[in-house]
Amino acid sequence: MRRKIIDLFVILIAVGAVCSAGSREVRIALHLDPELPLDSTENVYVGPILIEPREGENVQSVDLKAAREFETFLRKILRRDAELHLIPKREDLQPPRNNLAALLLDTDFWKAIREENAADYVVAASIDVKVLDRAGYTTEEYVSPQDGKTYFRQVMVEETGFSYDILLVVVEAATGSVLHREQITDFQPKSERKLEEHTDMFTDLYTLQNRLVGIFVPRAVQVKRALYSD
Amino acid sequence: MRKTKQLIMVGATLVLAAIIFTGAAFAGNPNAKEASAEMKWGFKVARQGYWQEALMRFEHANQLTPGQPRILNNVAVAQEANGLYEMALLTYQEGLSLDPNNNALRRNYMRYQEFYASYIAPPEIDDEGGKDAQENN
Repeated sequence: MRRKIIDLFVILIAVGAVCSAGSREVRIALHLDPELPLDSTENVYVGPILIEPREGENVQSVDLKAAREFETFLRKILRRDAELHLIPKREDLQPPRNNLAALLLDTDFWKAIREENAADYVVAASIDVKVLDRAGYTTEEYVSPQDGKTYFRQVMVEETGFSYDILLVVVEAATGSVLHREQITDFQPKSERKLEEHTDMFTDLYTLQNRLVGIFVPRAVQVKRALYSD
Repeated sequence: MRKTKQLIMVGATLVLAAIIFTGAAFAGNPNAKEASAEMKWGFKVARQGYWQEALMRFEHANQLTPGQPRILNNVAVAQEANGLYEMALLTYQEGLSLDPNNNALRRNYMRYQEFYASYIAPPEIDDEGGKDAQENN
């Protein structure tokens, strides 16, 4: 008798499911407009890439290497993915200040870039790179499922790699006004053994790449949504 | 063997009852039948990526039987897919005001809010160039 009731219950659930026709997950590509609507006819100058000095610390070799690599990476992305016309780099262009916030107030600097290079827009950035080499034990709370009491336990945490904090600005060279600014953080994991090798520092950083490209060209983001079938 | 036959009979009777019940519901309201057909068609074309047509179908279904959270959910999703993000927000909110416990609507609305905050209207950055609670996407 009991078995019969269970069987009947299962059938009822199945019939209910058939009749109610629930929601289903679908994938959608949501389109995003670019932050700056450029038509690829503009001349774009890339630089300067400044090193954001940390308080109480001098500029280290990893900072210099990161700034150089980032410039190469930025040029590659803007030329290949955003299809922008980039003006060749000028070695003699030296910014009067090393602080990007102060440099942004110096409209003459940006206007000079336009006069000397015929640039319509300037893409500049400041970069702060931290070498993370943290491995050790940390204490975390733990609630026992058996007695419900809170205990503390030691957990091994390992985090090695390069942490980037980048402020990217797009300046209209004619006026020196900031058209767009984007703060991007990303992390490049590296094994402890390779932390001393400052190569491929920006390889496969999809977040950074996606955000950079999204400033200049339309892009699509894949999302999931529940949709009723009837 | 006999037991299995009995169970099949019970199941078949229930399915038949459900079909008759649904048919009766549609018979009483021809708009509901047409709206259901529009929803089915909209879902089908949405799965194929024709979101403009899907939006048109779902909107027509909504006109035929207004105030249905299920239809409003589909309208909102199609609006998102067509880049009508602000309209989608209003449609999600309308649907949730009618049925705050609708799981699909709630889940979609949460995901929409996450997407909107990340891509459409990210938090402002202060003038000193510091981060203002902006997260890495």
